[in-house]
Amino acid sequence: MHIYEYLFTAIIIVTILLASSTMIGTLSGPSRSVSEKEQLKVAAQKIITQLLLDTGDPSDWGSDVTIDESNLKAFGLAKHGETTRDAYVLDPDKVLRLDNTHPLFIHPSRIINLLNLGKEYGLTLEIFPAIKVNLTIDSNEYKVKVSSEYGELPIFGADVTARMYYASNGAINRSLTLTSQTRANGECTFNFGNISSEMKVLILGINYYGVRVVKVFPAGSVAKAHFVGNHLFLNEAYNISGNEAYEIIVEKRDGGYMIEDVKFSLDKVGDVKFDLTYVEPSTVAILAISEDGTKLIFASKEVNLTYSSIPGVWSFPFAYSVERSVIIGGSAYIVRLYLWRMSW
Amino acid sequence: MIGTVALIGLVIATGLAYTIITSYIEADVTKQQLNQIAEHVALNLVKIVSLVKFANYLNNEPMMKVLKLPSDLGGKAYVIKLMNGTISGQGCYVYTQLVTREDIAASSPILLNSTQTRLKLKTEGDARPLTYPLPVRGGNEGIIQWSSTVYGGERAGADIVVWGLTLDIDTTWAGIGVWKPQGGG
Repeated sequence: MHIYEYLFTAIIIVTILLASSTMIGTLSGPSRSVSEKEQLKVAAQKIITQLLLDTGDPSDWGSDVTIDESNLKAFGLAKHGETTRDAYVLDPDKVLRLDNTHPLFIHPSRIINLLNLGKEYGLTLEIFPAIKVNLTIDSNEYKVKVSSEYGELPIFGADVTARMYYASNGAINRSLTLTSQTRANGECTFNFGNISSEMKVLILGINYYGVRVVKVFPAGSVAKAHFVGNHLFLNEAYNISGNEAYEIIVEKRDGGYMIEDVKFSLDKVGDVKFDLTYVEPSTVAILAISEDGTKLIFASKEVNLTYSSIPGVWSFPFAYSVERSVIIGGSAYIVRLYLWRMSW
Repeated sequence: MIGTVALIGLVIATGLAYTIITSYIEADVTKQQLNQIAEHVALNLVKIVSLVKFANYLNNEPMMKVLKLPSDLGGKAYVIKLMNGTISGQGCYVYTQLVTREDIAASSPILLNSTQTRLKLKTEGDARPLTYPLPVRGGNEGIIQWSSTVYGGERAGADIVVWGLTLDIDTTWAGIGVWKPQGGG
């Protein structure tokens, strides 16, 4: 054979090797990608199962103010019951600790650590009401718009129960309980008459074929606080008028909802911390008036938050999301988990 | 003559190179499969623990779920282990590896902290006492042979399971093992 023939043969052999290696690599690429996404899916299901069905340890860590990041042993958001438990029922005290304005906020890095996820995964948790409710105030008229979370389509025929609580002459007053049904545009209007006070809170109970959502709207000048278990945390130091607080209770009854209040006394245990003598299990909000009568203090158990292991915009192109419907404090919510891998 | 020898050498080298490349890709694919198995076992373990915590502890009956896993990966046997890496900061995790090649392995975290909580995972090296095997309905239905290490795959009369058992209000055991139904050998 001539030298050129050898060279030509060698080039062909090397080319075949390179071509076949490239082909094998290319062919296995898509199946590898599918496999990786499948693993992410399973990992996301595993994490959401742990978050929504496990109580964590201690099981009442949400309402126990002695439990913080350092002594929380296992993480889970499910509501603990001594005798019975329901699946996908979350403890509002635990969920609210994921809000970064909460005085007992649990940092995401601690949760990542408790879930043994290391630096391999990143996650974002969104928790929001199953039904979207917007409020517009026009003079004495309160226009409530009820829409779906998906595409904000108006919801027709939702039963809405409303009651206004307001501070006047150093005392908390309440309006009559009004009920209405949303029209085709998803709207209904309430008129509580002329309430001159600027310190008011509107409580709404929305029921759409069994899907219940309770909303608490500060409709004027109010001071937000947090309540955890039977403890009330203020954002600023105030004395509370009469050391009394009103617990707002929303309970189902024939043909709608009952919005009522119960008065309990408070003990001041710190500059911004008070203890309630008792908290009704179905309490959705707590109202109190500052001693000087200039502030209506309100704390609610309503949840609407985004909790992420990374700060800022968390849009990850390869994140896998999984969604579950849950009940928090008797209201329907959606929990959406986005999970991604930091590297493949 | 030299050219012919060089050509033969090139053919052999090419064959070797091809074998190395394909075995590397095969190892990568096997690793992916091991990863899937580890994730599957970890997911089911988390689910069974959640389920067990819902149950009334007074019945003292173990709960289990049979896992449908491949009998081998490309003709190679594999092993599933439940590990406790809490001391090294890894927490508890499911570890899968080929029996013949320990370098081809994968792991998946269990999300549960076993050392500080009421949950006790039967991990590798855990010497805390527990009845062996675990009888289901007094042994009439079958037994669970718990172990921190099980060999993968389905075998006649012996399935891989994840199991959980709440003994009292402060103790829940969970782990992996082999389910042997009554008369199943």
